[in-house]
Amino acid sequence: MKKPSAINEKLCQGKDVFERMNYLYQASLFVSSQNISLASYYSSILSGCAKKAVLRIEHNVKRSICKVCESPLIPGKTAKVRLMAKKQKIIKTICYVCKTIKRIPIKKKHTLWFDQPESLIEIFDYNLKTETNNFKTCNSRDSIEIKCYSYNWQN
Amino acid sequence: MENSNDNICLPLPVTISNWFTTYKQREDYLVNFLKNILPSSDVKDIDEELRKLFPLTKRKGKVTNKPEKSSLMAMRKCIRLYLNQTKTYIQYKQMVPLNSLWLGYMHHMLGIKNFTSLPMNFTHSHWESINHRLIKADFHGAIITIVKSKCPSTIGIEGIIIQDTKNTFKVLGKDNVIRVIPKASCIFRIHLEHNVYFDVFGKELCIRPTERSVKKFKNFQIPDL
Repeated sequence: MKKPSAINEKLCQGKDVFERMNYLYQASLFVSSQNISLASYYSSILSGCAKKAVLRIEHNVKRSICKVCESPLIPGKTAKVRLMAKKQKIIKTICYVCKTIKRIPIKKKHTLWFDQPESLIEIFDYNLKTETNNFKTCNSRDSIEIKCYSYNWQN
Repeated sequence: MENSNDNICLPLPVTISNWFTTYKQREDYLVNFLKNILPSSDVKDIDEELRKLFPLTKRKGKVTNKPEKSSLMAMRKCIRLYLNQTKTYIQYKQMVPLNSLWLGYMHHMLGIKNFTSLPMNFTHSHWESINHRLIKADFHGAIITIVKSKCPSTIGIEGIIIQDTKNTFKVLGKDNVIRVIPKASCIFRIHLEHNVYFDVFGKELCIRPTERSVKKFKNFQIPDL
């Protein structure tokens, strides 16, 4: 009998939930071209999983999901993106489904804590060495990286 | 015609205009009436008495617009309602790539290159760990058939899982019809590859999909069928 190929011994906390969230996000992006109500259902499960397992959604993923109706925001298809520069410089996205407005302010010198190199502690790599035929038909990511951030804010 | 045009510009006859009463006229009439009737000592207080407001007659309570508390959840419910219709116009051909995406997810979930290398017996060393991973997995987008069930009309239904609730699966068949199948009384066969599949008792899946990733499972359960 064959042994199953090496199950990675490096353990990351909540690895299976992270993978599940990753799959649900891809699925909701894929379905959104056909049925928006299914897409919002998938991404609501995404946020539900994160709440149950007490894990944080990555900030770029979190910003690309509508706050009210939880459908994915794709600029041009399900969302409208405008730059506003009157009092404050703002990126403004409007959801086509529920017409809520999301505003994100920008400053020139300010960078997010997650984008700074100090915040990264560790990267777990879970790569599969060979590809199967099923992979090539869809545009899923071949390698899954789980990044571990430190959540202490520095002043 | 000329006569009628002239009539419009003319002031109204006195007999009609006497009928009208304005707000001021009525007040003057009332004040005069009171002055005549009341004794002379009370005449000074008439103006003050008329200014008084009675709380129930004229003042209205402040109308405060309450913020709509249910607007967020109501929005989600409105969108979610479209899923409950049987005709949602989702086609089977369009959902096939979702299944291939799900297979890629299962590869990463199990940490295995080929599904043929899955353990076959319970004597295998990785048997328990893989079983735990399989139960905690997500089943949206999997192709299933129903092998056994208490209800004979549901046997043999095949399709892609679209929605996963606590007690039911919603399955999209090849004829573009969505069917709702109760979990508790069925045995499902989940297809991974061409010849690889595994059978699941539906009773063990009776958990909400969000809670499944956290819950701890017992090793042994006695099947009820």
